[in-house]
Amino acid sequence: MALPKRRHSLQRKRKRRTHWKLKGVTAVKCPNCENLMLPHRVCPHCGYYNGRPIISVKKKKEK
Amino acid sequence: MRHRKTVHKINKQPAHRRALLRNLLTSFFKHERVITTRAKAKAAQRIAERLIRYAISGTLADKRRIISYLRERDVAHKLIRLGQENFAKREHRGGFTAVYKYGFRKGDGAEMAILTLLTEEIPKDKKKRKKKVAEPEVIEAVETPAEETPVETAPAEETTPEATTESVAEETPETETVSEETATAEQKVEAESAEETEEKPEQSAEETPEPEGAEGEQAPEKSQSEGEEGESEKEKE
Repeated sequence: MALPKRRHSLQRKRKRRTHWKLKGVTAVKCPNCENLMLPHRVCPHCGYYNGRPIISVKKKKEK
Repeated sequence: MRHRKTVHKINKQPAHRRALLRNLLTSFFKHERVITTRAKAKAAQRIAERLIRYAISGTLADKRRIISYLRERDVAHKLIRLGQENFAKREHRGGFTAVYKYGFRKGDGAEMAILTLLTEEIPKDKKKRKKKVAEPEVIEAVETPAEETPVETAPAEETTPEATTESVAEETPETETVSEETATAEQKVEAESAEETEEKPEQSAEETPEPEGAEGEQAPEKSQSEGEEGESEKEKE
């Protein structure tokens, strides 16, 4: 059975892991209320999407 | 490849899936709007559009298909009425429903969506406004730091040469003899005047880099915004 011949050094391990990175969240300004929001989604702050209100959402926010 | 993936399985056995979607669609046509997970919304949307097509055609067989599918007779008749009175008069033949993505559920992080019945037509043309609003904001945001940075750097650079020249001017008259007092006085006057002259261009130099730097950095921004416009125009085309 294939087995590792040499132990990987700390440097080698750490170099490998330099590519483990977290990516930032892409946030967009809502064109209606200027709050930050995720793109391609109904704005959680004002309930608008594509320049139009999605009414039920707005009601929820007002409660 | 999407080949042979025509069924939205939503992780359920066929009977379970069918029952779930029938329930979901009954409440959907009852309330004209339903908030579920995105997967369920997408699966239900397809069937909803099919039921609406039946409602538009309105033949006896199609009416019976709707009645047999939906759990409540009132809702079925409501859908048939909607199809005949509203949807049949549209220019388009599909797209009577919409799925809007709506954040993530707290418990399990599932992506939620709103499935909506579009009882009113949506006007087209939106792209222009968004990008024109965005442009001036970007320019303003970058302008202010551009003005500040050259002011800070410019005086710091000019004070140091001034100090060196002063020290040299002071040292040289001391080494020279007393007989050359007049000369030293003249030199001092010259040095003072030189200091003044140095200060004056210093001030002017402080002022000048501001607009230069600001203009220099404004110009590429404008070109960028123009580039964005160009892209948006291409998108429109």
